[in-house]
Amino acid sequence: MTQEQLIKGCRKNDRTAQSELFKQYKDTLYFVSLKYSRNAVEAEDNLHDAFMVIFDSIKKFENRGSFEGWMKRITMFKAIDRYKKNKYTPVDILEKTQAAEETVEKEELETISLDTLLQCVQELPDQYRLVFNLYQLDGYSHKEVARILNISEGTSKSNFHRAKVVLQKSITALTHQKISKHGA
Amino acid sequence: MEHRKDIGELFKDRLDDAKKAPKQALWERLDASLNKRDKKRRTAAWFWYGGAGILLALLFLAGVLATSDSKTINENATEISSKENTLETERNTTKNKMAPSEAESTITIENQTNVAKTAVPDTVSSTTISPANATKKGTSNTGTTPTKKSVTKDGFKVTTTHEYYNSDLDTTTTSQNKKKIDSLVAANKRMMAVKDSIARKRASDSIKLNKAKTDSIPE
Repeated sequence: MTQEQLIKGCRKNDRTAQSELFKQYKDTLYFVSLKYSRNAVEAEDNLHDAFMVIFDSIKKFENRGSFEGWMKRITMFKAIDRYKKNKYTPVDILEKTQAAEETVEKEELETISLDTLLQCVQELPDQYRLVFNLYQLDGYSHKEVARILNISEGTSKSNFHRAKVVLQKSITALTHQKISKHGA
Repeated sequence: MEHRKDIGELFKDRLDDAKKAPKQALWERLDASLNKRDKKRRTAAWFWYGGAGILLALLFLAGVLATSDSKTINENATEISSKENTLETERNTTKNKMAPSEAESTITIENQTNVAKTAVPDTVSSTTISPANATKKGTSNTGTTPTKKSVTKDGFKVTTTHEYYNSDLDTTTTSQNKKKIDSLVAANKRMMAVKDSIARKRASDSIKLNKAKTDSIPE
């Protein structure tokens, strides 16, 4: 089934087309959901809700731009809505990470598995994670991030900086663990 | 230091376009949710269509009731009007019995061979059909010479003469112009109404006077 046939079928609320669409895009959209969520359970819940919205609003899709991009944005904003309501930014992390460096050895990161990297992102405080994802991974400007999250541009910038510091700390800790394991 | 890179960029390189499969059960969950949503939509659609149907039925019923009500009102009005007409006819008949009719209309149908006579009472006049050789027929004692004539297919000559007899003045007015007679009747009615009102006023004044007299007599 081509993408156009899939869209047509989904517009008619055809369950076969909907199932096929789910099969084709579930992995990509699940990863988007994982990046924006705290854990796998919340990511699955978010993916479920995102697909419901996709099937509901597929009639509004006007074939302008990428269909996959449109679905990714729905998944992303669904997750943002989930965490926007109860943003949690622990103060102790902010204070402790002020002077940390934001660079890391390339090889150092390449030895770490994708799941572990994903876990590092998921463990970020909600607002840091959202800002890091939007700005760094999805290419939005700080102005756009500020508008999406209802924060100031300055807050977006500082949240992004602090997110990177926290990530670096996590990576350093992971590398030290590895070294100590190999050493032992 | 050349190998050091911004941590954000490194994360982007690794996480960009990555994929991961969700649990198999997610589609079953989604399918169940879609079925639930469809059921809700169907129920909502039935609710709305049903509501719209009931509303239409109520509007139709209201329309039918309103129409039947207006018919009943019209029928009642017609009934009242016919009753009034009957009453007026009775009044006029009584007047006719007491005195010669105030207004009479005589229709004379003239035929050389055929002889027919039919009297049709009217609310304000009596109608007489007479053969052509009859010069004057009817309850009226006034002589009329037909001036308006018309010949029908059957060879009948039809003339219509209206007479108005005023019992108060004992005068008869004859005319082939019904409007003229009607205006006379209307004028007379108005005069009668004025007379009636004067008489009623006098009567009420005399009652008041009598009462005043009675009150003034000491016990």
